[in-house]
Amino acid sequence: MGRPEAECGLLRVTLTGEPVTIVGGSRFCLELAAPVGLSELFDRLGSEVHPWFGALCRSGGRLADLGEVMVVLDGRRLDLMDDADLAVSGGHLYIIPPITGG
Amino acid sequence: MHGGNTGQVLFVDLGSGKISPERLASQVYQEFLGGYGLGARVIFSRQPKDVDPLGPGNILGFVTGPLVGTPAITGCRFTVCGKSPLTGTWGDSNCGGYFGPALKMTGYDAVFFLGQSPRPVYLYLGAEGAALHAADDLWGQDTFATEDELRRRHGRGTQVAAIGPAGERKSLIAAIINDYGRAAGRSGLGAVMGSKNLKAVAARGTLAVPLADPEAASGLRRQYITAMAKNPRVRHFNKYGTIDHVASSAFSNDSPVRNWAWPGVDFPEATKISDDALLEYQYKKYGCWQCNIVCGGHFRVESGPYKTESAHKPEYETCAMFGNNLLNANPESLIKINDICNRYGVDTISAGATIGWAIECFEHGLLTAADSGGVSLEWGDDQTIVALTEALARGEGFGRLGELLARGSAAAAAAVGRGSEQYAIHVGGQELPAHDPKYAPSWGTYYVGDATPGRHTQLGLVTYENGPGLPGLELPVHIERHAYAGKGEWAAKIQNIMHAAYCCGVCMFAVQRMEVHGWPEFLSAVAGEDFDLDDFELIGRRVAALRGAFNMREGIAPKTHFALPDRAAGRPPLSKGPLEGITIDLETLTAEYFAAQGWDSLGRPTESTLRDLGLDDVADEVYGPAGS
Repeated sequence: MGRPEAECGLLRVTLTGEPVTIVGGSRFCLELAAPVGLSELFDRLGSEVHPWFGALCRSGGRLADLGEVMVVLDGRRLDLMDDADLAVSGGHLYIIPPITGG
Repeated sequence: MHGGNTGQVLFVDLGSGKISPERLASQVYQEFLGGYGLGARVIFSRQPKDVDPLGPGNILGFVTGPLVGTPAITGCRFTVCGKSPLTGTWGDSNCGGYFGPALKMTGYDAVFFLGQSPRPVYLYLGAEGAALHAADDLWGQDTFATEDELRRRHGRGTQVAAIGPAGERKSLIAAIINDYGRAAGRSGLGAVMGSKNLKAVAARGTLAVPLADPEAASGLRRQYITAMAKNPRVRHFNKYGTIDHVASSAFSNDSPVRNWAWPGVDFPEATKISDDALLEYQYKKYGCWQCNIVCGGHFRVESGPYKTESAHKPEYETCAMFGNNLLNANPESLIKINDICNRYGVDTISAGATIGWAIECFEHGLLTAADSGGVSLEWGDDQTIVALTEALARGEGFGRLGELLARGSAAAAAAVGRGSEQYAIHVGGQELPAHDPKYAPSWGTYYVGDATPGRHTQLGLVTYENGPGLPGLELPVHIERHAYAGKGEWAAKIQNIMHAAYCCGVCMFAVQRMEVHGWPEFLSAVAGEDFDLDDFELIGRRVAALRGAFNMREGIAPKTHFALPDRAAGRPPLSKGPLEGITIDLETLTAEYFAAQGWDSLGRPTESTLRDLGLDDVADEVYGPAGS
């Protein structure tokens, strides 16, 4: 499921900052045959790309060692708890760790 | 304090040429440590109010700290301080590299320059002593040529902090450069050097820094290096440094985009000037003196219009201000711009912001081709942005824009008028760095509440709003990013601890990544006296109050003089993107913060606060003698 961006299908995922080092890549593409809930989407990312995504979802977007991670889909900020059931059918998903200066 | 400091500072009167070593009382070090704390203590006492920042009365300090040149993690920073010509307030700027330890190892904790030299000079400090030398032949040279020449004259171990042509011309956004590209960039203190005809300070330190317990200090170093090596956040920062988040900052809107007016999701090209895309130009790593994080690098552009043989890796601030902020997605242009600014000695934050102001003025017809020598200014036009940067750095060319932009955005807007002021994104005259208070509201607290307005290094509670906080210091409350009430106490506490750490001479990036109790542990081992985090908080509070009192004596109060620009506050809020609809409640943030620091409603330290902190002489000066 996690494929290079060049073969991108329906959902492009862009990781930035420290998660790039943790996950081992910054851009992935997922083919979504049908809309999936946001929570389910992160479960799939967790099982098919890297467990970090699952841990992020279970933490509600706030990891103890990293802080609050911002999830943005097509320019809209999502809350992993409140928007857990939001149907995602594609687009561009940014996963952005906290930025504290530099 | 028995160790860490040499106990001696140097006063150099550039008017008379007299050089006078002076021992400071141990109590001064205990109460202010070093850095801008020690600098503020010395300068407040010896400088009257209302001096012209570019006149002979402004004292300029180069100050190390008690952990500089010791085994402490990142103990390499020095602070340049004095009255800022950019803001008219207390000004300081902090820098790494190798100069700080070299200065300390000449046997002086700090050097303070008084007066003005009638001709260009530089100060050399070495085993032979301290001496002023003629610098007529260096005047007009860029910072790299100056460093080369002083190293040729005084030996390879010589470290040099110099101004370039921008400082010589007293550009209000002039920086001081060491190590071919480390910059003490903020507050316009390069112009103060220029006003004094002081081209450079060259230090060749050969003396050991006195340590109370060297074995304990070395043991702590081993302990913390081992711990940090296991930390994935440190490993990530080692690889990328600050460029890891140019794109993150754009997409989250932490970074300004199109002069603070756009949501970052409208600039997807930010990925071209971030993390791996930039790292392709690195040909070797760079670390500051004895640093275990090693976040820097040397870059090269092999061919093309921006060919650059060797340049320091541009920092996030440079990439954001000249990239995201100007919609410029050409990474090679950013490397070139960084090199230009370092050679001429210009602050990249202020320069990028000022060019953003110019482009937006052009867009609205407030500047025209008649002002720019016939060239059209457009967002994302990397060729014009590079050429404009060079004109700004030279203070000439591009019609009248080179000279105009060298003043910085606030002064340039004041000269142009006609509503152009709204596009100058600054606080108190200093251009905002590339962190948006709408993303983490405590940036706003410090941008207007700190004695040096508009500074990203004063980040305090941002580390909790937006991250895991200082390692090892959990707060008893959850800090919600976009909540406003209840933050003041913590905003003061964390900033005060960071003030003390900075005054020790260590790096912001290490403070964010090393167990926080380690800093007083290092200081205890080095100084031979016990310090803990409570001591750090008290010292930081004292330093913050003294810097505030400096401004108060100048007739400046945060509430009346420092206003957050509407775009940074979210007035009106962005209409889309992850920060859509957000307007920050700066009133609540600052009111609580001022109260927690013991300052009045205008943000000035109260008399009782100053006296409680042992600053009776300061209270006497700004409030009158006790009981009067």
